[in-house]
Amino acid sequence: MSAPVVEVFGASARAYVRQPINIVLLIILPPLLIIAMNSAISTFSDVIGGNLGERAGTGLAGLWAASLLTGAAVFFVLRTSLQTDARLVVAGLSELSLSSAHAIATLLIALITTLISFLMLVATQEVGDALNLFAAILASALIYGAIGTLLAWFIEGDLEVSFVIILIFMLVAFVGGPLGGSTGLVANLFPLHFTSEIAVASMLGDSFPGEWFVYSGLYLAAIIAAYPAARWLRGRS
Amino acid sequence: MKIIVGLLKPESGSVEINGRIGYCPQLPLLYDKLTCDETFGLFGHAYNLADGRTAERATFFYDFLQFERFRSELVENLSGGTRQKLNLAIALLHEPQVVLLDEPYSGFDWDTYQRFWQLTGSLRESGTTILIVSHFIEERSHFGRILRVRDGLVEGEAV
Repeated sequence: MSAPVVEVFGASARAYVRQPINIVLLIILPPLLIIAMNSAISTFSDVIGGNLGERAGTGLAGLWAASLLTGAAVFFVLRTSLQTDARLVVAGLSELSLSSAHAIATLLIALITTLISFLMLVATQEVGDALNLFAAILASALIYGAIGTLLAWFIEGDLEVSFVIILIFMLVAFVGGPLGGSTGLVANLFPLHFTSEIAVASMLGDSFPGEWFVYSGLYLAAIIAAYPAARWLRGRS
Repeated sequence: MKIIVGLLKPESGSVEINGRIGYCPQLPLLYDKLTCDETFGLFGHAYNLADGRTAERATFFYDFLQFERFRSELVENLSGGTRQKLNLAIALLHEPQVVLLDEPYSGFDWDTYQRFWQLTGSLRESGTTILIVSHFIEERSHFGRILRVRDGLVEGEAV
């Protein structure tokens, strides 16, 4: 990593660590979703038309926890730094260095949240396929991190984005995922659909089509591909 | 100013830049969660200054603008005036040839306000071009030219 990338990455990392809400969420959210709500998720799944068992539902909760934490953290870190980032570019920092630093920070946040959720799942549940479960959670966290980045360019207020993140989460969880037993084209369009299916299959030790990871990668690529347009629009305002 | 420094894209026309520009935005654009020292370090890297040079310049601004005791304080904990001092210091850190200052003295106390003019005076003497946007022009002797702008257009030269 070049020195400017290290400096900007360091600034992002400090901003994350020095924001107490990030640490609080990191400590509260995974246990809340994984331990406190595991049987409730299974029951709720029955109510809305799915048939997730307790183990599969808990796996899904771990995936949600990592995704939500990553999306929210990336949004807030980026939201608070966007204008100053622009000033850094004016000062001579290359856009590439800046983007690289933020990408590394996002990857690190996703790794941390994934690891916490994963360890909590492994500690509390019987996991059928640990490697693919970890990969599915990490992919979800990265997709949500990418969504958080995109939102940061469009939405100004913290309250507004909180609503949007929760709305996206509700759609992903209730409409697009295995919680409600959704299948077909509409369900496939949701960004966490395939990673959720992989997580459920991995919890149970079931096999799944390898293309599901490819589709998830395509979602991530599609969101990242929207960045230039978002930045261009922001530059006009 | 935002168009000149590239923060805003022009609807038409272009801007040609030769040399180093220093930009001090009206609202301090700084990372709230960094300390003053960390902010100097980060912008020093962006300006491609050696670490030693950044430290020298930071020390100069800490002394001259009298905010050395806040060097380890997070930006979010600084008062408006101190934040503005850091904002100004960042704009001047790399000894720019052209300085763009947007309402640079808002929040300054009287002593800092005087020091500000002392600083810009010495910069002018050393050949630096300084453009200041202000709604408040008290001491005309500090300015080489004063242009009145209304609705985005230069209306005329004030006397």
